[in-house]
Amino acid sequence: MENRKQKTLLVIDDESDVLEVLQEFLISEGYKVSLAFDGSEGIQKYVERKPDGVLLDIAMPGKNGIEVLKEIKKIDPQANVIMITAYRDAEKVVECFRFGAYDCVFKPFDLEYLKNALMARLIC
Amino acid sequence: MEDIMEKILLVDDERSILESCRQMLAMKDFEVRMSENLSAARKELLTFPFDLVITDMRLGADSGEDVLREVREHYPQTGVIVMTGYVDIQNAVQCMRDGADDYLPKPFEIQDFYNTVEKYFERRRLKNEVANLKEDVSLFRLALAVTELKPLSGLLDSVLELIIKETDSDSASLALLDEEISELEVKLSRGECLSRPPVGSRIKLGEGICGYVAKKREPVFLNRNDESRNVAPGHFQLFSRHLSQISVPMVVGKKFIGVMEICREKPKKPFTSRNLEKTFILAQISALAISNARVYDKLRELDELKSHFLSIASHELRTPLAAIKGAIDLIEKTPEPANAEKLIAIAKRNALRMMRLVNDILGFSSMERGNFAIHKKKSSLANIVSNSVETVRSKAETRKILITVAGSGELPEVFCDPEAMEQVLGNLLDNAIKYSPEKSEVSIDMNCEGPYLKISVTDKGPGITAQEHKRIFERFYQIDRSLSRETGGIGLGLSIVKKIVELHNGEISVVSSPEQGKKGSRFTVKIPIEEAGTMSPCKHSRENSLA
Repeated sequence: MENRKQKTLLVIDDESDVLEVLQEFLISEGYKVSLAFDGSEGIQKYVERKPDGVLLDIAMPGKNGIEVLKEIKKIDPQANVIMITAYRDAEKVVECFRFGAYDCVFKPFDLEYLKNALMARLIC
Repeated sequence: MEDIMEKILLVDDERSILESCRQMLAMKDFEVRMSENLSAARKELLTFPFDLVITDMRLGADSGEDVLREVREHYPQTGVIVMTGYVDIQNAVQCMRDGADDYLPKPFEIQDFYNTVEKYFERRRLKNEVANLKEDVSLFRLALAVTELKPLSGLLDSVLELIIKETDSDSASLALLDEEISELEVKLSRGECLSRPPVGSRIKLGEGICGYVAKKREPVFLNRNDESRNVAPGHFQLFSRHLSQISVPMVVGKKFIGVMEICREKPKKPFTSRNLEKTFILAQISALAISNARVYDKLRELDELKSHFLSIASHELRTPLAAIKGAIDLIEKTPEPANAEKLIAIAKRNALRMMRLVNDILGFSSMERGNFAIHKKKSSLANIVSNSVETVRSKAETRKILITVAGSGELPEVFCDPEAMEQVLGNLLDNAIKYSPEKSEVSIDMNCEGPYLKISVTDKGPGITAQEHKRIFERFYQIDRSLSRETGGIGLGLSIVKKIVELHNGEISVVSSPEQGKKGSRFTVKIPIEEAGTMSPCKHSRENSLA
């Protein structure tokens, strides 16, 4: 992994503690991580940094995750977006896939699953 | 019915026959009129409704068939018996075909005459009874149709359609009482009801026929040209087109819920007292069905709310759980992480956050079951305040909000359930922090007012409009139905706060007026300091500040 160019991730979630835990985990997995506390900030950072992957919360104040997903996909149809959510609402998840998310990871996280989901798209 | 004399019109050009028949019938308590020809018979028929006309076939220049035709055409409720001198079966058969009820061959014994009349009335009574039974059956069917459990919107439609059909009305309308403002609102109208206010309009109690019925809770029955039918004081006027109108109150138990009105126009016949009776019964059945439908709608709404609540509550519980589990997984993964301390702090404050949610949910659930108990004892106010501040400290720190406390120093011990009061103060603080802008201040103020302690929590958030002041204490009020999740939480906090305060014989109030451009809200809890019966004033306060 060290041989490859370090991959960059953008994590968008309104819960600061969740962000912090994810940040710790992703750094320990060798990613370069930037954080955004809401949708608008997330879109702005996506444009600025063109990360390799995005972890995106669905329920957020202001722009919700599905709106953010649509905007990111409009800016960059190739964007790799994984949704993260505490909902178990199938409809919402299906909607995310329809708008181009490539996976959905449920809270509380299975870190192993998250790791594999990222690797599947970004590393291999 | 039985005490009213039955009226018979005798038509014969032979005076002697008329007279002997009249005597016979008068003896048997019939009211009898006599005519000798068709035009005299016509005049008599106009005077009042006859039950029976008995006519000879030969009336000088006229014929009994003319009388029969006249009665059949204009007085369908009146029976006809023809007397015929020609023992000509052909003639009798023709009359029966033309609608006569019976015939009597001349000459006859007076007893035969009476028997024929009696037979006619007996048959008529039986016919009426059958009709009444049929009506009862149709009423029963109606009751079944109307009382089928369904949403209110669909129910009102079917009620009106049925009542129009069953009473053969030209139009009908339904006005329901709006309990909050004690006014009727016209909910539905079928047919042309020009005389009535349109759907959606409001009627004050006592205003017009509908308002009169609502106020007096008694029916109004109006028939054109028939003052005797006017049950209500005479100042009501029928709309010019209407021949007759029935307005009945709808009542469930002792509760008045609305007014049902039906109208007939020409060329129909006016309503009868039987129509009034039927409408009245149907209105009561409908009233019951409407109040059931309201319960049904409410239950469905609650069911949706419950599902929504479960979805929100599990979301709100999983969020801190994600932080706790993530932090622990990370600590476990790397035996000595440089920032273990930070991760432990994250786990700890999210555990506190979960605890608050779980307490709210459990508290709410026991309140719903009616067994939420509090255990009052002499408790230190300072402890209550510092414990509740502790549960929100990390959240306040994250948002860089300063919590100030004024007046905790020399306040007396308070007779309360300390854990419940911590939940009250904790929830108020949690809300205050949630809605405050970053880097602002949330303040707790305490002071005594006679035998009462007043604790206020003031924030600099966007404020709460006057309209919302009452509703915020309703359960689930703030639940946001979209994904936007502006503030998080499960919408139970304030309803629990209110309940706990009430269990302490206290009250909670809110001061906030964003309409006047003022920021912030102040929630004040007022509870008795001492156990009921013992009272002592408290000393005053000094200021200090926390966090």
